[in-house]
Amino acid sequence: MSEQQRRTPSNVTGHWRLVPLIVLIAVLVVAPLMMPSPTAQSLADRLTPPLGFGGERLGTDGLGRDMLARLVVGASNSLTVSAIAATGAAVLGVAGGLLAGMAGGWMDRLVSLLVESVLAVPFVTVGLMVTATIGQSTEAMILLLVGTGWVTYARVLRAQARSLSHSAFVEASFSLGAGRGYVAAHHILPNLLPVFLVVYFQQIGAMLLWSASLTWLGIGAPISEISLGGIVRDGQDLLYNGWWVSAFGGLTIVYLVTALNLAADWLRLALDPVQKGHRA
Amino acid sequence: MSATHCGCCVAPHRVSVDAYVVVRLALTRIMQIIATIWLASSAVFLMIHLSGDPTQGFLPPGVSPEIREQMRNEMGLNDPLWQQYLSFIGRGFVGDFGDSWRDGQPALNAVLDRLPATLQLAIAAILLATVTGIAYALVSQRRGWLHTVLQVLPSLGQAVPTFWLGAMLMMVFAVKLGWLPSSGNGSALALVLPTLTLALQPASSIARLLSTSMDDVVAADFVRTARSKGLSSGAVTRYHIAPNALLPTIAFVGLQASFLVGGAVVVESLFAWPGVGRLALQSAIARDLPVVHAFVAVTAIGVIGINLLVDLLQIVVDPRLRSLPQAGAANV
Repeated sequence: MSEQQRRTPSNVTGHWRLVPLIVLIAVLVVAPLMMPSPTAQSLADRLTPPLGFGGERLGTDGLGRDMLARLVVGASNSLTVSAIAATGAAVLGVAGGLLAGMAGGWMDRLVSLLVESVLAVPFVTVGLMVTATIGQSTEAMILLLVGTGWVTYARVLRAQARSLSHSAFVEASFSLGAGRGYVAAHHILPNLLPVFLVVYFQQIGAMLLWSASLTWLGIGAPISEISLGGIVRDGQDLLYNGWWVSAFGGLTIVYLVTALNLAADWLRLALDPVQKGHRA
Repeated sequence: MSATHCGCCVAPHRVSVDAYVVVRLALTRIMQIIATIWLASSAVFLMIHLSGDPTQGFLPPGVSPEIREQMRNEMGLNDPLWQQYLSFIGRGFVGDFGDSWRDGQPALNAVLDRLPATLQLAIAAILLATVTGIAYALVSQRRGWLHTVLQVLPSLGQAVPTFWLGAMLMMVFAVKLGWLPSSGNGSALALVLPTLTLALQPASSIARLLSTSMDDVVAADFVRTARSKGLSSGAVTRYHIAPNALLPTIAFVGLQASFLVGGAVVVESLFAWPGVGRLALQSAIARDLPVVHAFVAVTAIGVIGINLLVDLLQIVVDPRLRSLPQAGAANV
């Protein structure tokens, strides 16, 4: 990309990036008002193909349950779990990142060592350990996602807090007699907000992918709960005569994650003055 | 990248490395291995004791209390808890994870036996991902509408769940068309679908990261200098942009090692690939904690080892990392 292109402000506004998320929210709000129950079984209607393939709506699954209803409920459930996990991880990660980035010294080294150690153990293996012990439950999965997800915030915010605490305006504030707490609250935190928000939106998407993987593996949310990972798993045995169950389940995940990532991109462009064309 | 100098302009042909830098890197990674194994072992210890009487894990339910008690004595389960903890952690460090509760063979052997199959898959996937990722980033540098389209695709690729991609590929190429086998590792053809499935995420990430860092490098001062001294645009790309843009990508490939292990668990389970990932999942579902423990320790060492290699590779590629930053110019 040329520099000129990058500096064109019209290239940067890009509000279309918000459209997928808005459409999603609208569907999640409106659809429950006009769809059948996602758990009502009707074996006579089992494996009805979707509209365009000789059936109606998005078809039915192996127990004759309405796919559209299951996808909508599954999407809300999966999003809720991801948002809770991303929020919990954010609290831990922001605290850790700020502590490491501002305090420096041995505290910085300790947090960094912890972050690197968590990164070296893939989250799936931790999930395996949790399931091996206490069995599968949504609560355990959320704890697991928080326990592994906080490192992303910690890494990013540590780097930001570090460079901010060496910046001129922070030094100026210190030299005017401000305390550490004051500087953290009035100078560091507000400047971390844009980065934090971008990471937060990306992380909801990442959590959605992770929780779906765990659920698909049979070590995440229990089968009784409708979730997108669970729907793909249900469709696993129906690949030959009911392709739409897995296919739509996965497409919904792709859509949700893409919508969240695009929203994160929009936030980054909207909040970061450097990207708006004042690049040195 | 905050570089004002181009990495390729500093001492281009002589590799003189500050020994202290290498030692410090190695020590950091070793510390990390120790911390990771300690954390993982502590977690497993906690889980073994949280899940009630560990002898229930491998003694049949109807066994007499005397035998159970004898087993508890043999395993040291009647010792004080802190003694059990210390000896458990100590044994974890020397690779003694105990015997599998399912088949009685040493847990470490069970994992090491399955390791080659996983390595085969992981190496194939990371090679494919790196090559396609780099090629993609180079192609997407072309201007115009194609650039915009090509920029969006990797983000889409990152949003595709590995397990679903595998299931869809399996449905089309194995179930419907019957071109490729859907399971096992009997032939070279059997490697195709698992490799493709495992490679999509890292390939998308590499393509995206490399495109961004190329955009950054293109705007750097040393590129303008290179252009203004009359180098052709091909030479600028080859000698100045590409080497510098590759640096973050090399670091990133190290970071991918950890994600690949997670991906391997998914892909191996889906395609019945006889590697460590599938073993770990089966062991977890059967609550075979020694094998899960061995798996976590082995993969952690592997991941950190790969990261150490990547650290060293970065030193070889980037002369700026070969000595410690001067005090005052610290810009890490």
